[in-house]
Amino acid sequence: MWDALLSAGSQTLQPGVVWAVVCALPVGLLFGLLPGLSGLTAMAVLIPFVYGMDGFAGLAFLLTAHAVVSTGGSVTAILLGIPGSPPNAATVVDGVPLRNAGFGGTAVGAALTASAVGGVFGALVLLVLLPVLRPVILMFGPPETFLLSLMGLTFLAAVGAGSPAKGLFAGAFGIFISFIGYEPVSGVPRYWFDYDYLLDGLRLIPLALGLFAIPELVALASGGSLEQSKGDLPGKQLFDGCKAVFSRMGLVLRSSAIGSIIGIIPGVGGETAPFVAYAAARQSDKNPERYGTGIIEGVIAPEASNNAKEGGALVPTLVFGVPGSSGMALLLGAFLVLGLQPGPNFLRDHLDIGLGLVLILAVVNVLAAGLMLALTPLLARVVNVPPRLLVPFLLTLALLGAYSTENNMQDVLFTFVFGAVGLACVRFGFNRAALLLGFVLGPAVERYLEIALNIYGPAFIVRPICLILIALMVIALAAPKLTARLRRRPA
Amino acid sequence: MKPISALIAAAFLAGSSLTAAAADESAADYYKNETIHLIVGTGPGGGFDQYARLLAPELGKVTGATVVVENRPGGGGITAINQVASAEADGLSVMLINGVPAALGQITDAPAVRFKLQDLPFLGRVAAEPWVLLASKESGYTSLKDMVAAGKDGKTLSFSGLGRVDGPTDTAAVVCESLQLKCNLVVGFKGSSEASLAAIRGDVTGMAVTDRSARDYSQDGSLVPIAVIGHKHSKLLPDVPTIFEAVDVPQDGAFWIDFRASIVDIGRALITTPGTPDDRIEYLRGAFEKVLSDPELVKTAEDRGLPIDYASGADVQATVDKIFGNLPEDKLSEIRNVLLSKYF
Repeated sequence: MWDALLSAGSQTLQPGVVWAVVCALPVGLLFGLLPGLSGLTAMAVLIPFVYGMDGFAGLAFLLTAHAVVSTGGSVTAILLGIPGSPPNAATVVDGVPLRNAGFGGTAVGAALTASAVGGVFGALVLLVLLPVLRPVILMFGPPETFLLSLMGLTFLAAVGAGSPAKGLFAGAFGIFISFIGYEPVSGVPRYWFDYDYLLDGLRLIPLALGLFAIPELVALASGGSLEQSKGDLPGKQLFDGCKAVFSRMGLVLRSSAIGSIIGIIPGVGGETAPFVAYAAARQSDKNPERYGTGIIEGVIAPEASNNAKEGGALVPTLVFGVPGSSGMALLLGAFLVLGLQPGPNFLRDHLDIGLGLVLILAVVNVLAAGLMLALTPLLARVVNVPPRLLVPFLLTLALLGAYSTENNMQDVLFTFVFGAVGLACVRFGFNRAALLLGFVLGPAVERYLEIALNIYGPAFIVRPICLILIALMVIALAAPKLTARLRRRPA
Repeated sequence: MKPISALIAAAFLAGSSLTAAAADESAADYYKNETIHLIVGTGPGGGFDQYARLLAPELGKVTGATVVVENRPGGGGITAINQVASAEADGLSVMLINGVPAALGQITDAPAVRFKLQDLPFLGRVAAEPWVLLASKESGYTSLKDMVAAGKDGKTLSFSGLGRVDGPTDTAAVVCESLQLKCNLVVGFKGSSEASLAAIRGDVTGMAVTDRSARDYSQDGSLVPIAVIGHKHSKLLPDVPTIFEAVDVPQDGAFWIDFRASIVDIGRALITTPGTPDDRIEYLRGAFEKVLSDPELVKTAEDRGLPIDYASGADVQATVDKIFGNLPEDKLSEIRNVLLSKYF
């Protein structure tokens, strides 16, 4: 192991690899900053460049670009209220109120620092788990995946501010629209109205952009201007943000762990990690009602988890050739292009490459946060741009992002449709993050419940990990009530 | 609106007179300086995209045309075939299709299918991968013979898959039908790799995949390749017997294997729009033959993990005609029953 680690270290420092990382880092951050362009798009655009690269440099190139996307996206989420990539949607919930209160710099500083710490944590988890990965992943079959997704759904009411009933309603609506298209198991098409586009279901990127970007742009265009940071200099605020992260290490580590676990399990979908981390932070907080009003914990939790999940998602990709996220599916393609076959024997034959990827992941997360921190004072000036210039520019970018995922104009159309839904949500106080979470988790719950029943019958519920997950779910649901009662008693 | 529609009409007129003029020239002259859209029904990065991006520049060199790869994901590739099938018949839209889901989608009357494969002009086949049945190590079976014996004792065998007619599941279904096994097909997995994980874990008895995936998954013995579902051996797994060598396939069972194998023979095939002038179809067939039999390209492709198994457009057309030409209605409904409902 140590030999392999040393050899991995020396590989990582080869000029070709360093060069690849230096080139890919700004590309990934840019794709994150621009709304709608996701890590997936970054990877798809960059794949042609790896032909002819040395194997490890090529992988480092792609992994770097993909891993730092959500770091860049957090800045857009906070400064503009538009998630730079779908995983940043949860950051908007508390990031925007913080910005409006004049603490945009602090929020950005905290988000970037949390991203860096989460990313390093994810890499460490990967490192520790490398030798024992196989059994860990095999323990999580369809029944466990079902219960994990269900657990995510129990957090629906806890995501963001506002009334829990409205949160649940928004979540239910998200689940409902996730039913459009082929049913995952039987293949029966639902609610498709003879319209081919709907057969594949509604798409995530137009949904996320419509829900979050359009209402923000409408508000800007109709006279509102972005709140200016007041008081402290941006530099001082950024530093405060960093400090805030380090004084809440418990929260950071727990959120990172949630991100890693969700990343490791192939079926759950990495997009849910930040929501679950956010909801878990809220559930375990003494004053959950503060969440959504602009508190720093609401920014730290999702950002730590969404960088940690990439380390987790690498696990099944390397060990089974089963991608843990859609980005990893493309990375898997790149492995094959480079003549490497991830799978059971990969780590035995190429342990140094596996460890090298861990190192890259850890280093680029820190570099990305550093670079963004340095650039933020410059980026923050975007709030000084008059809306009449900013709105058309951002709208173009957002629609370009929606179009570019599938080169499909209908995605642009649906961005506007969801934009209307988003506006209605804002107007009537329904929780957009809950809607998105329901949309992402609904199909997973449905799919894995059916598969689990097909394989094990209803008895799947008594598998050991399932029992643990059920217990956790009950505790999470009951905890706020219980702690409240316990606190009241001594008084 | 009036002037605009007049303009459009004028454009159409001009366009149609241009195509009429073009037909007089030779097809080779026609394609020079034209733009050919090489369409794939998947997003960037996957196997089909990589094949297309490999072929595009070579096709450009041979024809003198500009060849652009276009990704049109959706409906498992079906949506893009619909679009190409109803495009303008100018021979400038060429698509690399996935033969298995296209043919099975048509046979099972899938909701979005709006084409008939037998009406599409085929330009050639880039690759075709034989399908292999794998047994989970956890299941304890090491050969198809064992499995059949257990099946005869009344044991239910289970196989994992994605949808019903996109590869793994329908392969397992025809094996069950031809060998008259009691089977339960566990579908709904998100990708073939996730389905393979279920087999590795021992949740199911096994699964069917292409020979390339079979080679990768069987590296460490957690999945064991037990039979090629067809008459020919796989080049990648030469030691794995065909289903006919592994067990005695009942006489009327052989139909199912042959049926599935002929669909595999369509493979990753190139099509264009029906109604394209014959000389252009012939020209494109020739161009693809030139590209795909260039040893240098074949080597580059193999190095990238994209094996080439060329068949001429006429051959693929014959395969398609054979599949759809003599299927009586009652056989068709029997096939639908086996693929869509019998084993679920």
